Amino acid sequence: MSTAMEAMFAGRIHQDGHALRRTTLRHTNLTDPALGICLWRLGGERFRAAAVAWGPIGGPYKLAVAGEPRNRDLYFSALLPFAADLCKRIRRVAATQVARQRGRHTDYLPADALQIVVPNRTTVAALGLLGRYLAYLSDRGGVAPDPALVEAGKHLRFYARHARVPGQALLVPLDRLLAEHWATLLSPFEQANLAAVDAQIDPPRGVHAFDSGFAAEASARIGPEPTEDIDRITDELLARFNEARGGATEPATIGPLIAPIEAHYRRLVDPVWALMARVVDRERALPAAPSVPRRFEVDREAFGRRVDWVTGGGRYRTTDTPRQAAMTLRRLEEPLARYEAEKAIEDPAAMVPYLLDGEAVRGVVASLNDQYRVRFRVKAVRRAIIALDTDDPVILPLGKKLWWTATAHDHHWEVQDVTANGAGSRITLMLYAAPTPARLPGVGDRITFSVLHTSSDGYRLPPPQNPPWTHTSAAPPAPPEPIDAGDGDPPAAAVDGATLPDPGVYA
Amino acid sequence: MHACPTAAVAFAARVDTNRVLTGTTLEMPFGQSPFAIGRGVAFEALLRRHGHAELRRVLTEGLGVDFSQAGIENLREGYQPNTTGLKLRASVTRSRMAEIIASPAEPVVLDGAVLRADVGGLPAFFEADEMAIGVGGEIVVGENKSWPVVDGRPTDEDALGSALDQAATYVLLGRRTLDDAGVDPDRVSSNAVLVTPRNTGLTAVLHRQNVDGRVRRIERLLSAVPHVADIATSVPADVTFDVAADTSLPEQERVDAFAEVSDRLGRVYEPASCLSSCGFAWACRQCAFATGDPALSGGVVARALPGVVSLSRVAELSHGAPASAVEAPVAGPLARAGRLYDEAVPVPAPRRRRPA
Amino acid sequence: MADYIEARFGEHVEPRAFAGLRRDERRAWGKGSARPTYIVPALEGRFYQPIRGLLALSDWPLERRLIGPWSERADHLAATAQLARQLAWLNDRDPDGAKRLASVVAGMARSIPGAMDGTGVDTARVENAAEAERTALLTRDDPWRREAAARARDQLTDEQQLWGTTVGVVGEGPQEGRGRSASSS
Ligand code: SF4
Repeated sequence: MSTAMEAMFAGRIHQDGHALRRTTLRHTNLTDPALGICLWRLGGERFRAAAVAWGPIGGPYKLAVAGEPRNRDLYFSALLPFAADLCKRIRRVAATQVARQRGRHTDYLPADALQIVVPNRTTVAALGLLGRYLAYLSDRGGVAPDPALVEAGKHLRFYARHARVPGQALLVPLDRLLAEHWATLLSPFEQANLAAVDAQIDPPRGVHAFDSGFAAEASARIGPEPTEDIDRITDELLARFNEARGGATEPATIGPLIAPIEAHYRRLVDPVWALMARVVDRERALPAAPSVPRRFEVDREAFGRRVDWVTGGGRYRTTDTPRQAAMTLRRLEEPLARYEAEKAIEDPAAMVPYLLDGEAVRGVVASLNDQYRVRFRVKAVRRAIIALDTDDPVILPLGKKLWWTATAHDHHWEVQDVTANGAGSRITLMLYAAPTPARLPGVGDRITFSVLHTSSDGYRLPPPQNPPWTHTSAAPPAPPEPIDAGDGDPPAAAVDGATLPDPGVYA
Repeated sequence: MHACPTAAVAFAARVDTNRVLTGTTLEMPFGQSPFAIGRGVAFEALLRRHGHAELRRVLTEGLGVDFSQAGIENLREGYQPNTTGLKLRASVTRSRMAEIIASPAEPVVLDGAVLRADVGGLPAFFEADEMAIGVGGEIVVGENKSWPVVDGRPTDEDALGSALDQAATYVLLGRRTLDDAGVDPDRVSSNAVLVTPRNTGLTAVLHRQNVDGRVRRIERLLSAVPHVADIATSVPADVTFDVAADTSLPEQERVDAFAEVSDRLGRVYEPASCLSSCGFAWACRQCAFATGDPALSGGVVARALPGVVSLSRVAELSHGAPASAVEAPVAGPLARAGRLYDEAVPVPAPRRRRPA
Repeated sequence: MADYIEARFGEHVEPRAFAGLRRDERRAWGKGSARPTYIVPALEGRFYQPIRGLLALSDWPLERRLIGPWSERADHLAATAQLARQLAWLNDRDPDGAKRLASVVAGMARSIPGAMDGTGVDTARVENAAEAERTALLTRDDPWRREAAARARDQLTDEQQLWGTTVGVVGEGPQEGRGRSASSS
């Protein structure tokens, strides 16, 4: 991140009154239509989705509402349609496969993958937890849980874990999508509010982005964690519902009683659903960057492998060993570096921070010598040398490796010399490979060199530092185990915050 | 804890920052879901039920020391829920901590320990969510949280961070308390204890975590709180939050009054910490916007702009306006950023000018 | 207590109602009515302040009305043993009532090592386990109660010994364990 760039954005947005694009291209695949999921939990209850809305983005949604999500029977029977539908959609998409030729090797991968779009990263975490809960359910009273719940749990768990891969587009939290593609006046802390970001991007005529962002932040409610005002209503409705059902859980009794709770959640979902569609539409309008299909192919491959595994009855580990965790970190570092590189190489706006930070140079090719000879071991080899005149003065160490953005997948160039040249600098660069026409720019071309490259063997990964909190534990990883013990315990009574004594810590 | 004169003066005047702007659009929505509160209350009650049976079990399992016969002093019950109660509890905590170190053989728990701290030169009391645990002559700080841990992982990384910050605060204050009593402060362990439910039920599980880094950070934060006595000498006596808090006045008048008071006192607006813990945050953010304070979008931007007074100036510099001497160091990069961005994004989005 | 009443007599009592009860009792005592026994608050053992929600009877010895670091657990064990004995008695006479009480006893006994063997409630087993743990605790709880009660008799008026004190704090200086006591009227 370039601090000058961020400051420039803040200044201009403050002056202009609306957000600014960070990119000229869209770097995330958006399928049409993606499956939208929006959920609301009961406050503080990480495993209890009080309402799940799902459906094609831009289309109508279905709503699963349990009434009392802390009652296992009610909860599971409400979740079942969602789970079954999710499984059906995933299996259907995974069924159509295409062959891919890699050298002599042919493999098959799904022609598409089911893309899930959610409002924010908190929802990603919520789906991951829901998945973890459902994926390993124990029998209760000798009754096995519905297999659709278990399968959906495994899918959700996979999606939530895959969401860690940089540049992936299987599970897209829209707050992250916007933060990557737009600069706003919101601090990183505030960018978690999708409505506020959206309002800064597209303020009503005559309203400053700051004001419309604030209005949205104050009024919009975006799950999964409910605010106090929401759950005060939920609390009342739920108390009435529980009293009316008197312990009953069968659909015939519950059906007529649940309508007010459903209406409550519909009122909450409607605006979020519209917001999600608006955000996706706006971003879809931007042309996709050239590497978007490549990254989605990686997603499709992972999706296909997982679906095979899950529908084949597979189980995978619930906890990484420290070693696995370290491996995962390394596995995630390469996609991150590659994603960042592809973005900047393909998108001039995304290259600007690198230019500002001295990780890239841009200039006009002043001369080219492709007959330069250097001695390499015993024989002389032909190399190319260019002189690049930059607009701004640059400081680069001799021997620094740079890639021409047009051949970022190929061999590097090395800085041979830097001299002052008018207002800018003249850089002498040597290509570290045989000078073929494709590797050489033309004299007079305005081109960019940067430290970014996309050859996959080019990454030397440092060992991970600071293993995260959990990896300091010496305990061996637990085998997959149900985590639902106690999920049938009687729920805790709700407590109104206004009735709590103020301990007066500061008083 | 903010390095902010406005917050410090409010604290000194015993003004509840959450209440001053009640009823205006700038009142912060800090309330919690009744279900979330209920869950927290239920978890605490579970730990204490039957003579702290669940707490004894989880400490025994988690610390490897038998707590089934431990003395558990409950400082939550029997003390008034006011300053007097807090003072008494602080005094009991102090003497018990010394005893724990003097007689290491007995495991001891202080449930609801209270520690006293100086914040900006004024006394403040911190109610340890749970306890000081005495094990083998060492004092371990413990926190209860009602969010679950699954597969050894917290289900909410942010909540984990703030719980550990809280624990680190108690470690720091515990050490100061011992130090004041002439006891080696390092007898307060750097490894704090977190007690949370495990999985979907409420059964408790214990984790230990080193909080040294956080202790150092909080020590810095505490020492950055301006001394109220210093502010008081430089601030006229007529500075008051009364007008802003007067619900009989129209909103604009109250908001303006707050802006004026905080202008005179000074603000140190920092989005993440202000928005998560100060009742004035929306009001201060509004002020930051109105004055074009670079702090509006967070520390990264603010720190990048030494010498530049406002965001409007930043915009001008990014369009190549001539820089003053103090602006010179940042003017170059800003102008270059603006130029490169304009080059990369040649067709600017249709501009809607701010209404005058 | 509310659980017990509900199980034993089939009546639900709002735990909050106990607070009102205490106020009424205090007023009755103040009027000097000639009742022999009052419901009084249990007291903590440092400053002898009343503990909200914990009740005792005025004719219990002071030792028993004090709550210290081991007392809550010891009292819980005593109550569990007592209920186990009641349950044993009820088992032969009132199977319905016994069933209700059994679940309360099971809940209370769950935290006692060796009290529950997995299935139903074995009253003798519960009683023995509770008594065993209590005996061990009493070596700490008893001396603590005796010492605290002696100190109270030394320092407090009769009224304070029943209803507790409200403590004010003098100054900000170090004051270890002893605030100024004032009558709680
Ligand atoms: S919100 Fe305002 S008053 Fe509160 S700490 Fe931040 S700057 Fe100071």
